[in-house]
Amino acid sequence: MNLFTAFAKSPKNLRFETQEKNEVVVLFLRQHIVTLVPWILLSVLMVFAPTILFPLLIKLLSTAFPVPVGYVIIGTFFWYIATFGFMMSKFLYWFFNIFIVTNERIVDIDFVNLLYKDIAETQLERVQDISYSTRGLIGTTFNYGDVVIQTAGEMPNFAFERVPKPNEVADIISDTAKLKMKKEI
Amino acid sequence: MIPLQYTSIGLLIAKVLTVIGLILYAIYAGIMFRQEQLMSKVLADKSEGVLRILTLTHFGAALFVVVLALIIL
Repeated sequence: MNLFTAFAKSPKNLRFETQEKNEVVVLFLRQHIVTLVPWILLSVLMVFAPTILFPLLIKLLSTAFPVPVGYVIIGTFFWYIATFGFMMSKFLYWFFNIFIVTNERIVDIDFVNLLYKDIAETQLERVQDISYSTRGLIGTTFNYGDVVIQTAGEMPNFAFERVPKPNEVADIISDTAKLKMKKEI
Repeated sequence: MIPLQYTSIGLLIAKVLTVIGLILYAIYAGIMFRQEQLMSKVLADKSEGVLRILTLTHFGAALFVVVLALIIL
């Protein structure tokens, strides 16, 4: 497991908050790493923007009133810190949006924003149907897609969105659920 | 030509607004650092030390800019 792991079977050295003593993590998932590309490109543009935008902005403002040097320094510092902050917030959102399958249950941890997190789980014996889909050119090329798990009763369905190897994920969940059922019988 | 007292009042308003904006951003950076701490309790993984350092650096840098603004503006 490293900082960019998006798919790990039986990961070692991984524990989550509500994990029971005899509970073993079978599968660990995040969204595919390709889903990071749009904001990485935006961040690259933001990093290079001051070299083009700032001289233009200062020139424009200087015609109305002189811009003190202090504001240019603070503005430049702030721009790069805000760019770094933007990258960090996007990365944290990706990093803490996790799907975990254990030998007992399925856990979906959502880091919605900086002030709100949501943790949902369902027992494996409640799993009724698993389907997956891979959409679009990028999804097919990089082999990622959505896995939808239908659960019994009034429990909401689980959707693992844009995860790597959706077919393998569906197989693993199905096999783990069957194993759990057999043990209980 | 803008009279001198208007220029200095304008600069004072600009300074106050800039510092308030930077303080708000520093609070946001602090929340990001705190949230990372809380989320690392949800998921205990070795690689989170790096994130802790990065969010702390970000928070420190945001505070540094507030201090810098108070000094040089």
